[in-house]
Amino acid sequence: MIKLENISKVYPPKLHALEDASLSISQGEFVAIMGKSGSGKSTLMNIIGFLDKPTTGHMTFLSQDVKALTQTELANLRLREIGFVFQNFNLLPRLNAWRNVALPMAYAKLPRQKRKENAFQLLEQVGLIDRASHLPNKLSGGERQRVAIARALANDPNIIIADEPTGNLDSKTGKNIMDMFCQLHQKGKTLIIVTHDASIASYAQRVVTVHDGKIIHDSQHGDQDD
Amino acid sequence: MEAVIIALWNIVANPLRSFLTTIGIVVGIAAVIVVIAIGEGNREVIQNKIKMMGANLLAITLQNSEFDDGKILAGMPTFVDLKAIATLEKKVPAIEAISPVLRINSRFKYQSKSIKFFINGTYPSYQIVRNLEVLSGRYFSVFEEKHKKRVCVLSKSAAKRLSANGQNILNQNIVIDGRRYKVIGIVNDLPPLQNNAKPEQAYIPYTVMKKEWPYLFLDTVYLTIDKDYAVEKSIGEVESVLQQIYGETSKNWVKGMTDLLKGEKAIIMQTTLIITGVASLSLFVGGIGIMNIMLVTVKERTKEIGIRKAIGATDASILHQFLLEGVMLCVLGGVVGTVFGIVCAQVVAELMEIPVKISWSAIIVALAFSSGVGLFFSLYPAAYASKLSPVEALRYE
Ligand SMILES: Nc1ncnc2c1ncn2[C@@H]1O[C@H](COP(=O)(O)OP(=O)(O)O)[C@@H](O)[C@H]1O
Ligand SMILES: [Mg+2]
Repeated sequence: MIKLENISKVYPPKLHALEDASLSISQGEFVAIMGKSGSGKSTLMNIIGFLDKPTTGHMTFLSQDVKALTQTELANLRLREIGFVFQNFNLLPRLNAWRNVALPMAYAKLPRQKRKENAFQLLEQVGLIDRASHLPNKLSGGERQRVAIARALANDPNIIIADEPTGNLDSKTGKNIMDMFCQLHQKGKTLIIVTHDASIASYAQRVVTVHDGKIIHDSQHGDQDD
Repeated sequence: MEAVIIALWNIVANPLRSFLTTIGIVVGIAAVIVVIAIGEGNREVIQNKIKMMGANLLAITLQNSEFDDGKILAGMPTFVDLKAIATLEKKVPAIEAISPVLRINSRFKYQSKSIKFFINGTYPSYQIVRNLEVLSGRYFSVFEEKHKKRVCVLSKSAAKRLSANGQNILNQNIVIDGRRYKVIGIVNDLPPLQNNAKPEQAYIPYTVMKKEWPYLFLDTVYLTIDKDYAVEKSIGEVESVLQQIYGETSKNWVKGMTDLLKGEKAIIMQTTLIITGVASLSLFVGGIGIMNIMLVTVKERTKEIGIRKAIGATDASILHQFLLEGVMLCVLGGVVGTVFGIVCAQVVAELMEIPVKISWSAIIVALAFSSGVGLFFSLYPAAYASKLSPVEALRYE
C-alpha cells in the first residue's frame, strides 16, 4: 500500500535525518518502528503520513507517485487515509473533547449534526463519553491520548500513525493505550507505531529498527547490513 | 456560520488586544460615516433648493455669487442693460420670463417698527422667474412698473416682522428710506441661495428703484427657461446673444443653478476632503495594526496550524480561517466605528452648521469598507499561515 524506495531527508546544511530508507507496508499490517532518540523515526513517520516530503527517493501510495501530488491532494490524503496520534497529544487547547474529535469531520465537510453524533460515538468507543465537554487541560494524560485516538479515527482512515503515543504516559496507562491500538488492528486498521520500548514493540507483528537515519533491521526481511 | 463563531471566539479570547487593534479602524470608519453623512446631507439640501427654485433658473451676473451685496467692481464694467434684456427676450424663444434685479439694504418703517432688510427692484415678470407665490393681494403690474408707482410687495417674513399680524399690513402705507409705499401684496419667502440670505425681502418696481437709488448699478438679471426647452442648450443660446452684443467680456456671465450653489458646495467639498484624508489615514494605520496583530496571532498559533494541517486541513482552509478572523476583527471595529460615526456626524452638524444625513447605504458602505480593509490587511498573514510547513509548525513550541 505504502512503498518507500531509497528515501532520504536532509536538513540543511547537511544533517541526514534519513538516508536511503526503503520500506513497504501492506494493508492491515501492524508495524513498530524502533530506534534511539534522534535516529530519524519521526522523520520517517512524517514522510509516511504525507506531512513531510523526502529530499530524494521515490514514494508511492496505492501505486500513485506521491511526489506528483499537490498540497491539496496531500491534505486530502491526511484527511481521509491517515489518522495521526502524537506523543504530546496535540489537541487544540481551546476546543473541548468532542469538538477536537469533530474537527477532522468539519474539514471533511460532514454536516454539523452528523459530526457531533460521530464524535460522541467515538468518545464512547474510547470510554470518554462522560468527558465529552471537558477542555483538554481538564483531562489526564491518558484521557487526552484517548481523545487524540478518537480524533485520529474521525474520518475512518485506513492507516493510523502513532509517534511514541505512550511516551508521555505512565506504564499502566501506556498499556491501556496499546490495548486500544491492538483492538484497532484487529478491526483491520493498518498501524504504524514508533516506540523505543521493547515491551510495546512486542505487540507488533513486524519491527523496523532505525539507527542514524538508516533502516538497519526489518523483522520481515531479517537483518540488513548497510 | 460556525467558522464565523470560531473567528469571533478567537477575537474575544484577547479582548483588550482586539480592542486596541481596532481603534484605527473605529476612527477610520467613523470618519467614513461622517463623510458620507455630510455628502448626502448636502446633496439633499441642494436638491431641495433646486426643486424649490426650479432647475430652469438662470442668472446673468457679474458677481461670483448671488449675495455679494451689490459691491461694484472697480470702474464701470460693461454689463447688461435693459435694451439687451429686451433683445434676449426677442431672440431666445426658450426664455420663459426675464427680469433685472437691483438690490439694496434699506430701512423700513411701519407704525412703531423700524427694521432694515433688502429691497429688490424688479420687473413684474420676477414673480414668474422666482416662482413667487402670492399669499394675499397681488404682485405689481406692468402698468405700475411703467408708471413708477410706489407700490411694494413684502415677503411673508418681512410682513410678519413689520406688523404683529401679517395680514394687517396689506393695503397699508409703509415708509422705505423716507418715501411712502403702499403694500399691495404678500408673497412666500424664497429659499435662500446661500445660507446667510435672510427671508425678509421687499419687491418694488424696477423703475421706482432706479429713480430712488440712481447710483445703483445693475449687476444681476434672472431668467427662467421654458419647460419645453433644454436648460443646458438654452444657456448656450443666451450666451451667444450676449457675446454678439458685448463680445468676450460676457463669457462667464450666465450661471445655472449648479453654478449658483457652487460656493456652498466648495466649503462642503473642503470639509469632505479633510475628513476623507483622516479616514484613509486611520484606515491605513488601522489596517497595518490589523496586519501586525494577525501576524502575532499566526505566530502564537503556529502549533495549532500544524495540528490542523496534520489532521487534514488544506492550505485554503487555513487561509480562510485567518482571513475570516481578520475580517471579523475589522467588522467589529466597523460596527463600533459606525455608531461612533453617527454620533460624530450629529456633533459636526451642530458645530459646523452643515446638513448631515445618515442613510442605510452609508452604514452598508462603512461595513463593506471595514471588511475590505480587514481582507486586504490579513491577506499576507493568512497566506503566511497557510504556507507554513506542517512539520515545522508542529515542532514549534
Ligand atoms: N525540522 C528539522 N530541522 C533540522 N533538523 C531536524 C528537523 N527535524 C529533525 N531534525 C533532526 O533530524 C534528526 C532526526 O530527528 P527525528 O526524526 O525527530 O528523530 P526521532 O524521532 O527518532 O527522535 C535529529 O538529529 C533531529 O535533530
Ligand atoms: Mg521523534
